[in-house]
Amino acid sequence: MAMAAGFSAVCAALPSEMPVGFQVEQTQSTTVRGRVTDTEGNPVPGVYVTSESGGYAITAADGSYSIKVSSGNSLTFDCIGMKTVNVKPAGRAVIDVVLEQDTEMLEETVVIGYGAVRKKDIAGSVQNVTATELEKMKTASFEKALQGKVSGVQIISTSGLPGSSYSINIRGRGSISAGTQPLYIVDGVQMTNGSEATSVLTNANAMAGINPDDIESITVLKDGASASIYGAQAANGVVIITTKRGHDGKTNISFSANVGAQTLARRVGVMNGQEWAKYALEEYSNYDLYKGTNEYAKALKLFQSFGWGEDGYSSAPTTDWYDEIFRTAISQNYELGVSGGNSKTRFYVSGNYNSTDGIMKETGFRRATGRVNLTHEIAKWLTLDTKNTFSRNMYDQASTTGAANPSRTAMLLLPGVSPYDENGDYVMDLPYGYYQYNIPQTLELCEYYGATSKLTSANDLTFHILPGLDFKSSYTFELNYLQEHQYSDPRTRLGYRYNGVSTAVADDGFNFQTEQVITWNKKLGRDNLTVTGGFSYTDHQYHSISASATGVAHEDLHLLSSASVLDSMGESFSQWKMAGFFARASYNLRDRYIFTATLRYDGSSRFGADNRWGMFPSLSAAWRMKEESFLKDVSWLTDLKLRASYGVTGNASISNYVANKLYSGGHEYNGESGLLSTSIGNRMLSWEKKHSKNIGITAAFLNDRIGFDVDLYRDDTKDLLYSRDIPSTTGFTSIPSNMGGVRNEGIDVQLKAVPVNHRMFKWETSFNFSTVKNQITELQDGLEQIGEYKVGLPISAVYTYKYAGVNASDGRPMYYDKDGYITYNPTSDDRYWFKGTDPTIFGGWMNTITVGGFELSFFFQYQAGAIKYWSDKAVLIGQAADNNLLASLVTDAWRKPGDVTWAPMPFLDGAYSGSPRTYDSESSLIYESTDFLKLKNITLSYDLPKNFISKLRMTRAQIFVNAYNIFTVTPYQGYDPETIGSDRGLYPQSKSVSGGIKLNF
Amino acid sequence: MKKIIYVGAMAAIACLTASCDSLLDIQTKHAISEEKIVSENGCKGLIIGVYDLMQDVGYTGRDFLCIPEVLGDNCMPTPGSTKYTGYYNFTPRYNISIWSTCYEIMSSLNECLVYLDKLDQTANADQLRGEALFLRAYNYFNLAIVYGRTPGHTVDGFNLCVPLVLEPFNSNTDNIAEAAAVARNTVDEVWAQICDDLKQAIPLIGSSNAPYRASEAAARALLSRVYLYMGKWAECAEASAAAIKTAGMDLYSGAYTDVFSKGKETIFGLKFTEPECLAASSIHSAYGTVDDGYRDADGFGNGTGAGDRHLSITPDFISLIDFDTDTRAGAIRKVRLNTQELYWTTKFNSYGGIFGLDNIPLIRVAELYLNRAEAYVRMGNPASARADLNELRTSRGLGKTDLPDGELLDEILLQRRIELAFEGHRFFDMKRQGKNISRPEGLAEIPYDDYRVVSPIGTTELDVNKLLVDNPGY
Repeated sequence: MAMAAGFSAVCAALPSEMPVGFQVEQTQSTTVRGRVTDTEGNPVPGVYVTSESGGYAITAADGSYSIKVSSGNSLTFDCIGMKTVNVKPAGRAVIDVVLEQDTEMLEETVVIGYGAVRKKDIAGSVQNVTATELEKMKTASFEKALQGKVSGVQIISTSGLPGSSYSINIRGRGSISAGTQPLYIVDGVQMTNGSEATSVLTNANAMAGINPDDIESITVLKDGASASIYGAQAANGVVIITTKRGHDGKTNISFSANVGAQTLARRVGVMNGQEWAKYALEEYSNYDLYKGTNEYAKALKLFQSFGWGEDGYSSAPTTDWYDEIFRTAISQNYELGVSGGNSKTRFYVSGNYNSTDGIMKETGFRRATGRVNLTHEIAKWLTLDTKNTFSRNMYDQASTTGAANPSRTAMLLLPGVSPYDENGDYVMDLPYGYYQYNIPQTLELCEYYGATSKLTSANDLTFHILPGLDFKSSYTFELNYLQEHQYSDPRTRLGYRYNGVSTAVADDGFNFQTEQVITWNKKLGRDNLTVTGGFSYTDHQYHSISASATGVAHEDLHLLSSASVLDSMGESFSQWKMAGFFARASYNLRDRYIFTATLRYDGSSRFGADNRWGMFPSLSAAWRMKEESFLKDVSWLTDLKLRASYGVTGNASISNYVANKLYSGGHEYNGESGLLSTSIGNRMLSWEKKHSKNIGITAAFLNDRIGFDVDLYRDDTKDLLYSRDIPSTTGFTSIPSNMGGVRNEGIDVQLKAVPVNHRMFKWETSFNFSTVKNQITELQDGLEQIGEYKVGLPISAVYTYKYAGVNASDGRPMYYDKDGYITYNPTSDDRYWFKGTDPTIFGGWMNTITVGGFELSFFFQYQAGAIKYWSDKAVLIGQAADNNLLASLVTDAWRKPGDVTWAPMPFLDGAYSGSPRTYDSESSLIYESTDFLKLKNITLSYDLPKNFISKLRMTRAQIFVNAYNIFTVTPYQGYDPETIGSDRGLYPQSKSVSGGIKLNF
Repeated sequence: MKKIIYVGAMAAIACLTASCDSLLDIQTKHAISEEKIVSENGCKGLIIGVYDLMQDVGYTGRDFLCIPEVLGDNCMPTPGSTKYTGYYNFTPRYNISIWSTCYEIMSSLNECLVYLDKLDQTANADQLRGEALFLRAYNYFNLAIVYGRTPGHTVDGFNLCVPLVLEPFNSNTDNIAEAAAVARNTVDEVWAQICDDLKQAIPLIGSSNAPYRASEAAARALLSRVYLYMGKWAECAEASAAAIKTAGMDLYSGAYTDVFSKGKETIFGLKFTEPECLAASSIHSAYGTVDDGYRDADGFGNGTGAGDRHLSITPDFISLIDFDTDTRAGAIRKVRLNTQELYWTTKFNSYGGIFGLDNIPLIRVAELYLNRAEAYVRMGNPASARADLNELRTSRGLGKTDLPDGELLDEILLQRRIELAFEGHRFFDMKRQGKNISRPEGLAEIPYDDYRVVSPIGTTELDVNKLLVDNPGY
């Protein structure tokens, strides 16, 4: 939420602002009445009005108050996000007060788990991103807008396909086998994140239905102490999203529209038709030379028969497969929001439509969302808060498997073959090469469609039992329907053999969450105590039905019912539950020393019957040095705070039933259904626990012109949830277990500055820098190494053969053996350790320059320290007979003795004489550095002058143009270094240009 | 309000004293627990599940039939296909790998055998016990021929075969590494166990489920194969005779493709449904067997829609076939692909006339005649051997042989190669005799004692089972 001053017209009751007592003065007093408003005249409810003598009142929804005050005493009007006002009644009976917004950053409040705190009271490592910052990025997904903005947080898109999910890593990877994604809390509700559980779609983002324009703020809880109030699910950090709320007064209408165009950001350079044919012939002829075969003559004859010329290559044509598969795609986004309210009821209603065509033909994403947030004061002691959102997300995707994957085959399809016959019609199978799918035809005729319909309703009843004592009872329902359809047209290679295949999947998910939370604030002299306690319970159910049939009546009849033979059918069910009890106590000593302790006791159905419950404590402290007398008067120092915290959190991101030994049906044979033991079970399976330490310093200088947050952290994860390999003679290859440990340590730096602050020209800049050092501290049974994991090295460390280039005398690929000598046949003992695939340094740099009504912002993102397995490269340097190759091989391949190069002699199967290992097999050659610097975003906007737009009854009118992913500097040769996992035909990223308007009435 | 606090506090206390696990009770609709599996239906389900595992393309659903043909001299990769090239070239790391699938099967069978002992001993239970024992023997036999050498043909005294796991694994243990470690048994121990299991199975198993589930004939037929591999000629001849008699099945002398497409000689096989076969990776796709019927003027098809067609028949093999008289030529199809002339088998095609449906015969009656013929000739009974050989030859349109007794063995082995081609026998038939592995297309023979003739157990398994040693050379 972050009621950064300017967004709040409602005061949250917060600890240090609480009145002292509950007794209303009865003696020698007069009654003062009045109304509290903000500078725009909107009433401010929830303001604590206290008299010196100890009486208090709270302003009502219309901002009115009434308080008895002893003569001579003054009144204090206190509200978070507003500047505190002191007034002497001096005999007046009616006092109207205007509260100014407190623009000082320090007064921002930040939503944390089960409450909010003033930013200045934060003792852990918590970072907040406001709507203003998100809006500057002009993106259709909040994850994209958040990329590179938060120190210690790495956000990577799983695919360039619109609507894809994001992988978010907070302070490194703490787990080997269990999930590493943070817990998402949207308006208090635990959300399913990551990718939808899909059958047809890939990487469909479960959070795609969140309209970034609805977001008021995003808070990231990075350290263990801050996150541990969410106990068992918080080990990967917590992302708290708060949506906008209405405020009473004038109704606001906002409208925005934007249109853009995207193109493929980067092509991988591959050979043209002539280069390829010539290279292939070289491969054949070298092969014949060494193997005594007669492959060259056969190939030459074949190429001649294709009409490629007497030499077999000089007349070979070139098909530009990138042009056949990719396109310039259009995106549109429209947004309408209405908010307002009166003294009792406030609302925020919004609608959004987004349509983003994919840069790959026939792919795209469309989204429609609607939201109604409503707050109603039923009685002075009871408030109803309901937040409801509906979204429908529609995905058009393409095959992602092997030879039918367009992103991959755009690189690999032979340049000499064409998808068309002599009449310009599609051929079904490409006539030559390993990759035979006619991809443009498949994209046009086959279907990979999915649509999710989500409804989330979060409902809170808050009982204001006594001043300072609130009880909130929350009930949330989430419905998620997913409908998928796949169709393989009989005219394509995908569907030909089956005369068309139709597959339909219907999933429905239902989640229920209830929380009962009591909050109690008590002011004790100059100190303040806040105690929060509660109970949380969630039940997640998932159900799916699928069927597939073959033999369609007509190519254009895609539904199951038009197919003749039932191929398969399935039904699945899954459920998990969590229950937790939690408590937090915060003590604020004289506004200088802040102590917080939390405790959570969590149970999850996912763990073994003997080990389901876990305890997660935390402690944190902050010392606001600036408040000390010796710094109070240091004028150049705006703020100085030291922070320290320790917390334990858990990770329960594993499948729902792995701890149980179970047998599943559906293993059909001979018309009968068989059973198979699907999980080995482990009654002792328990929590992965993360022990986090964080120390930090927050400082600001020169009246906030410069400020920084620096945090040092060390997170030790123990009892890792790990799928432990066991001998397959047991009937299983692994057992879920707890073992070993991982440490993540590093530094998060967030720097903000206003280098130029002139009325006509303002430059604001913020820079963040994060390091993560990840290392395995312990493995099972005291082993130093298990497979590709080694104590002391990162989880993602690469263990592979070390490529030594090419023997200049005979063109064979060379490797290093374990002693550093050249070998042509390395064994598995000759593998070396390389750096990891997770970056060790990353961050972003944002700049905003304001000149008059113009605002120019540009944003850089960078990372370093990692390598990636570029799986496609193994194919692109492989056999020409199968597929197209990297263009660089034309010049780089070894041709004659004395050539010093990385690429061996062109050779048919890569298995050179005396080198049984093919050089396209896994080795350091296939790994590439993923260091990059990207200019991610440039936005130029112009706000029309206020005096002009006010005539049009507008409060704001902005025109903007935006460019995204403009350029990348990287040694990585694939589509994009910023991807998850190994890069195998991932849908490439686009670059885009868009423009639009934003209007407020 | 106090009441709510009170209830909340009580609930918290209740949980802290570890009694609110019921809050976490979940439904398990998709699976059953250990308690419920101990029943006749549970045991039968486990056995059906084993057949489902055997349909796996990495095992008897495809590769266990294809790879022995590529390792031998019957098949070669179709130009342009690289799927089986590594095997064809005997590239290290390319080995038949059935370890984990087979032991997953053993786990189900061992559980089944234990649970059956806990149940009432009905006729059904006996039948299931017999079936489980047969399947255990069948899969241990496959493991034994892949990961070890056959009895009497060990090299340099290395006599280890696979570990005999005969009890289900219990995961509720403090030291999983120790509990799960098993050592390799000797060749003799494993082959003795296979014989034991089969002998126990024969009286229990019955014949009602033949041929797509185990039967008495299947158990006797497998025993015949086991004895042949062990070099126990008399036992082999006896078991073959008993199997032929029990099966009540003759060699089929009609169209050769009917042997497969109508299951005329199948004693034991895997049954597939159309959707299972349509899966892109089925055996017919690997062999390119689906024939759209197109023929050009020279009688060549064009290979359209034949699937992945990874494998073609070697010219060496083609040269063995008398296309004029041998009915087995009926299961060979000529195609022209990218101007190259190739031969593809159509053995696994159109079962029961359904396009692309291929049931896979794992034991055929023809094999029994060949087993017995070979056993007879090796035990010095050429007359009986000649009778069996002629039985087969005449069924295939070749007429009786007039070769002298001294050349009978070679002829039997030649007919065996032709008859059982593409069914996963070729490599093992050379290996079991301790012969060098013959290669096609002028490639050099692989000496019998070459380490690559035996599959490696692999580092993954060795890393987690300290009692295992790998085969020599790896």
